[in-house]
Amino acid sequence: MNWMSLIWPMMAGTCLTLACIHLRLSFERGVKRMPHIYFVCAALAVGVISCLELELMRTTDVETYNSILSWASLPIAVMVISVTGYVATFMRAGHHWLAIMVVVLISVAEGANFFLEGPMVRYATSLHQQETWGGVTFTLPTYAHCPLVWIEVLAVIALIIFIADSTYRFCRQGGSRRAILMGGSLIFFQISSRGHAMLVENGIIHSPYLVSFSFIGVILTMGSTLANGVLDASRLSTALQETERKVDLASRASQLGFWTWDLTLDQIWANDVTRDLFGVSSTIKINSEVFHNSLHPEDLAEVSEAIATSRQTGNEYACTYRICLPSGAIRWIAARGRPSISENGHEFMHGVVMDVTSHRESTRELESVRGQLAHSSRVSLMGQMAASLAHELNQPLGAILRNAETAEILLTQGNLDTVELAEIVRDIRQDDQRAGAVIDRMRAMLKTGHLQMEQLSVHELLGEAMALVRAEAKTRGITLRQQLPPHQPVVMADRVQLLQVLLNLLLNSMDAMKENSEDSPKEVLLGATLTDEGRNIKIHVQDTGCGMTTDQLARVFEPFYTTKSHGMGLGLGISADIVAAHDSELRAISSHGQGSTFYFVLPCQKETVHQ
Amino acid sequence: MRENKAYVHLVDDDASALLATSRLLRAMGYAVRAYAAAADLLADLRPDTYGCVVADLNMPGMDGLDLQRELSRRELRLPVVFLTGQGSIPATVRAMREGAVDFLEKRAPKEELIRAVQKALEHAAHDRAEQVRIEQIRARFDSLSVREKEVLAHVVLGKLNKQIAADLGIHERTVKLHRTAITTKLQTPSVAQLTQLVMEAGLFQ
Repeated sequence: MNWMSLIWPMMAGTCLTLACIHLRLSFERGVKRMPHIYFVCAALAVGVISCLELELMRTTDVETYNSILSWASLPIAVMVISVTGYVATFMRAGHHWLAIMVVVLISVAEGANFFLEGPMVRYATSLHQQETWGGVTFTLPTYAHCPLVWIEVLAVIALIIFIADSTYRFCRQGGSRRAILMGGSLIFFQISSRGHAMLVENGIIHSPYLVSFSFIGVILTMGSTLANGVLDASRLSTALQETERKVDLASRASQLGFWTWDLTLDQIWANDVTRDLFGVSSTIKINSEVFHNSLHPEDLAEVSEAIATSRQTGNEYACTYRICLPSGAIRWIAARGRPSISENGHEFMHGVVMDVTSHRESTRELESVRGQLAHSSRVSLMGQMAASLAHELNQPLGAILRNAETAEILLTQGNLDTVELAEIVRDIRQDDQRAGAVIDRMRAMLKTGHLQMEQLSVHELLGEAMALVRAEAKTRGITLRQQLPPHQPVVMADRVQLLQVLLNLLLNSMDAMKENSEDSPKEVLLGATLTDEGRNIKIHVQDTGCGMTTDQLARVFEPFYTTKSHGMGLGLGISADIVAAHDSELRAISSHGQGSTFYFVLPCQKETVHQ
Repeated sequence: MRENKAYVHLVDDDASALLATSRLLRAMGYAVRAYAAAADLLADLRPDTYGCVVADLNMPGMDGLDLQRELSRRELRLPVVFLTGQGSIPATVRAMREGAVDFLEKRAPKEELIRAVQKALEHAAHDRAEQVRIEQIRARFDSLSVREKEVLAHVVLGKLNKQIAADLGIHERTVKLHRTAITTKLQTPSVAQLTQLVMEAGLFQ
């Protein structure tokens, strides 16, 4: 046992350890695999070389010595090729032809040394014992002249150039500074190992091969890199924990719940806030079934569809739904999420949930107040038209009376003209229906109710509005005109409230023409025109009245603003509110003395061809 | 030829009310002409049209009051009864001031309607009789010669024969002859009656 037989195996062990670490790293997800595998090969090769160096020092037989030298060709070739591969795959910056040249040259040199007899690259002619520090003796050969050694030297020079070139380009392309250290240590390894071997082989210095020792630089560089990596990971882990704490705090403060859904495995991770919102204890594992069971049955279809659409399109998922808590209470949840695919191909969805129950309730209260206001406004509108509506009712009622009187006369006269009597009865029935229709329209306008969206034919809606104001227009001597598109567009709207808007606009238009002189026309146009290539419909009420000044136009939708001697100035504001509840906007165009136009635009649901 | 039958001219823009009212009036034995608009009636009227008008006050275009105004502009003496679904005081006042015979709610019982129509037709008949009488008087005046008319003009002013003779530059005896011819042709013995006739016929105004 001497220091030599201790140090060389230690070198081999160090190389093996480094190889093991990089082998493990190569299996890590998210890491470039090939550089690590090349490095493992290189480290293993250096380890083997280290063992062979020790063996050479102990051998006393020339034949065995040359045999070991011949076998050493294999790890040397593997080492050079692996270093080339490592640099090429790690930096991806050098010239390919240089790398190929290195591989070809080293294969030729070491192949020749391994397969062919006689002096090729390394060959000993005789052996003698040499004594060194500590009184340790080792075998030192006299080397023969080897004709192919220059090929190996050329290979190493090419490798050095390749490493230098790759490192330079890699740094130019923005690679890390550590690459310089790496490249430098690899170059040092090559120069020192090959240079030392040359001096030994030419008998200039009397020393054993020290290839594995030249590798120390590389080992140190790699070690420091690894140590830095570990430190970084530790720092990141601390920072991550800090971030998690902050996110958790924010999540609790804002009552914003986080969730992640692995759709492939059907597992849902949810933070405490989310679990609290859904009333699920932290011990229960959540999957889509648990989620579906907590949903309100009426909302299940809508939520499933929203998720499916999001998964299909890759767009953000947003949905508001109700959940039934274990206590039986209902909670409104607003959820948002985004689909993604992880590296291992799992389909994920990350998102947030929020309790919007109180918001929903206040919205509903507001809607209720708005509904009441709209209703009182409708009652007031009908009040304004009371006289003309009474007139409209009196027409059919008067006709019914006359017909009944006639029938009485005919019967008392004994005039049993059944044809005439039948006509009279038919007319009575028709007039009764006419009067009934007037009453129905009035009742519809006077009833209370929530906003009820339904599919409405624009033709029917405008027809009803016209029927409601026809008598009023007649009383005031105003010509009513209607303009309808050739198709029958359908809109999504609340019938009564939209009628109220139209009625309000029509009565306003009529009021605007009060001051018209005798000879100027009094015309109100209620029209609907398709816009945006038939996607939307513009409903407008236009008059030939006094119009508005710029100031009046600017304030026309303000509550309590009015130019009339009667009236509260609420009608237009309420109408604007109703139109806004239909996701549209009530607008006005007017110039003083030129009449006004009020209009709003609704999206068409579909279009049916006019029969 | 003079039209002798009295017609009730009914105007209402509401087809069903028009039909029902005309049905009732026919059943009551009136001759009815029904029109959906005032303009239709005006187009159909002749100077000698006889009867009355029953019109809806509230109509698009020309309304009842417009119609009444147009009738009096054309000097057509047709009494007007107005029907209305809703009575407004200013409209009623105006209508009555312009000579409407009556003003009825549409849903008034038939008795009121009949009474109003009857009254209007009586007005018409009276107007008509008056007109006939005046026309007869005018025909009698027309039979007078130019000189006789000149004499008559002086007579009704209460002048004596002597004054008339001086004014016209004729003999007093000739004046007497003319006066005899006038009283014979006009079948009026006294000067007082003669004066009344002249006023009724609207001569010398």
